[in-house]
Amino acid sequence: MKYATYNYSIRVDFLRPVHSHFFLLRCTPSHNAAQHVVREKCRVDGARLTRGKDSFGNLVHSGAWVTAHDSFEVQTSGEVQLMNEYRLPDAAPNRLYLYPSAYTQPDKKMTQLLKTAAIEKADAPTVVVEKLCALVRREMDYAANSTTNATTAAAALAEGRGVCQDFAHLLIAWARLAGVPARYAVGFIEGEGNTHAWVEFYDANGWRGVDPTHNRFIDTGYIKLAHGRDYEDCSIERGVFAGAAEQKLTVNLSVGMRDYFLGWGNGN
Amino acid sequence: METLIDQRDAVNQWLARYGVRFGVYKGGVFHEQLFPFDPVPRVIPAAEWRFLEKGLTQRARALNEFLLDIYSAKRIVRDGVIAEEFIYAAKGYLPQCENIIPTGKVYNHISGIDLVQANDGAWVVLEDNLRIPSGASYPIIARTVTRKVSPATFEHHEIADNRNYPALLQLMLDHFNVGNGLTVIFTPGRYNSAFFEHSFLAEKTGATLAFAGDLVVEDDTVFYKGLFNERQRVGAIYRRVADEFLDPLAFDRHSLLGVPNLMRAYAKGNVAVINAPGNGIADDKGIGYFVPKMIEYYLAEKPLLPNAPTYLPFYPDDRKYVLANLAKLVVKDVAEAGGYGVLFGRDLDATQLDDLARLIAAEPRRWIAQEVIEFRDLEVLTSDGDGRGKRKADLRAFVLYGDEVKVWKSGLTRYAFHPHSYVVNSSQGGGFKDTWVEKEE
Repeated sequence: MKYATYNYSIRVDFLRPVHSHFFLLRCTPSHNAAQHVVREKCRVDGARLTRGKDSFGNLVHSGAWVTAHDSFEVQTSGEVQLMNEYRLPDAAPNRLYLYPSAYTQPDKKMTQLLKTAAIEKADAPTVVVEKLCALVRREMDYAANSTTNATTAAAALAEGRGVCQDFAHLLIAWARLAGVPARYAVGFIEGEGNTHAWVEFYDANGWRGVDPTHNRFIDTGYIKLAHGRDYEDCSIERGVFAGAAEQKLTVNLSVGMRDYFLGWGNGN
Repeated sequence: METLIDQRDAVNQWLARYGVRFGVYKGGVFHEQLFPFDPVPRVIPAAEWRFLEKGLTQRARALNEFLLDIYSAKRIVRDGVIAEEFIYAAKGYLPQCENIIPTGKVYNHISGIDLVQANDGAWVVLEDNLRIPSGASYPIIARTVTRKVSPATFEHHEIADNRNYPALLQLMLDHFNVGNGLTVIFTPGRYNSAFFEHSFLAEKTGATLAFAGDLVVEDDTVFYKGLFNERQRVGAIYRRVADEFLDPLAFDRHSLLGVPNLMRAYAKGNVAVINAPGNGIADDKGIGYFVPKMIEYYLAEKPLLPNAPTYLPFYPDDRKYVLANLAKLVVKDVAEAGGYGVLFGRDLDATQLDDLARLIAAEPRRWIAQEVIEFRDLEVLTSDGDGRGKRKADLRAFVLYGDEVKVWKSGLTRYAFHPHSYVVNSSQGGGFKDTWVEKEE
């Protein structure tokens, strides 16, 4: 078990003041079998926030800032206990996660490459995902800033490079084609300056985590903020406003982890 | 009736003055057209109407149960009545609406069900239209004008007054209004094909006509911004904006027509959205096929109104039949509406038929095929020959689901532009008639 703390801020500076600014945030972890949220806080100076859950079960904050402002900052922090195993029990997967979504629409190249993954009918979901991860690693190079938020799995594959979002989309697209329910997950890990994306796949009574960017199955160390069909469902910060669009974005993230022991009684 | 026919020019002048029009996009350019009116009404006898009323009510109830089920437990899929492909691969299914139960558990507050009457007199349903069906305003205005121009016609005929539609609509909207707030009709604006109707219905129901910038969401509550920026709580939104543009933070992020965070207010039950977001799944042409099965499944009743005979190439038996009989069938792309994506096999040459067969084989779920229904011609006045002609026509019946289900005793009868055409959508030319429902003896 690990004990994690996070401090995350997104700051937007506008060249000229904007107004009628409405936004929706997914930047706070919620409880699940793999993470226990000890405390969390989310605020935007100048705006009042309301909390709720979206239809995927993610914790969302919505807010409005109607008057003119030339900067906007989301500040969120918290402490989370992470279990030793990344496993989210679910008696039956939502079958939606077997169907292509906007970012994971397969193309010809994807279906052809899938045949080279040597997946056998008898392969367990974990084995299928392992083979697909290897395929992603074979076809893709990691290159910072090589793609944008709008890049689809097919487009990233055509380029042969991308970032964690693209690695996750491609693995999801292939997993779904291979008949393994898979969904996009986003959150915090240690040692990165921004949020990270990974994949959850369904394997006998629950969801397990796999990180194609780091080529590993997940045990612990991942704080999840949201999951959904793909990037589109998991926007950390989504907003619309009136005014000039020129803006500067500054993101700060610090994540601390330490091992966490249970079992020492009082007085020790 | 003869006076009415003699007065047709007067009627059309009145309609032009009222501004009875709809917009169409041709080559990307917006035009507003007058909607041609034919003074010969479609007359539906009282007994026939009684049956239609029952059948339409049954359909609306079953479709509502379906939407409630699809956005929560999905029993109908689990029980194998509908294959999951027809839900998850359909454009109209919106996962963002999962587990949001609308106030009063009603999704299809307003259905605009399209029917045709076959030569043998049987009514057959073509489409259910549970998203933002338009057209109710035209018969109301036509009735108002024809009564003015030819009052004597209505002394001799015992016809149900159809000018009560705004009152029925208002009653329904009030029923779902949350927190006694304002009722608004939310329009995408004057470049929408039905803008005329939005402003007409707002005026007639006393609702406020709202444009995108007029509505704001704060604290998960919707407010109408007045002229001086004062805020008024909104309790019901009769929206005429399509799902994908409704909320840029939940759906299409580039939408300028929507209300940001409307879905948050709706999810929390702070506002009624009419019709409910997500209804597009029921409008999917592939799902239309299953409506009679829904009636049996949810209501344990025998379906009263049949669908047009439909085949789903998704199922191998149907596919075999469709591919073998393509030349006599009409094939529709499931995700299209408004008369687009409709192909009549008999209009295609051998190469085109082959191409279509290939498309169907490659993506069977994308298509449905139907037998061409020989539906009844209605008489229309023409400007050539003896001045009388025959046209194919359909009927859009409006079903309001409020405290109870009510079918409006009228409807929009649309007829085809060309004598032998089967396509009656107003976006494809053609005109409309008033629909007279005879009063009970």
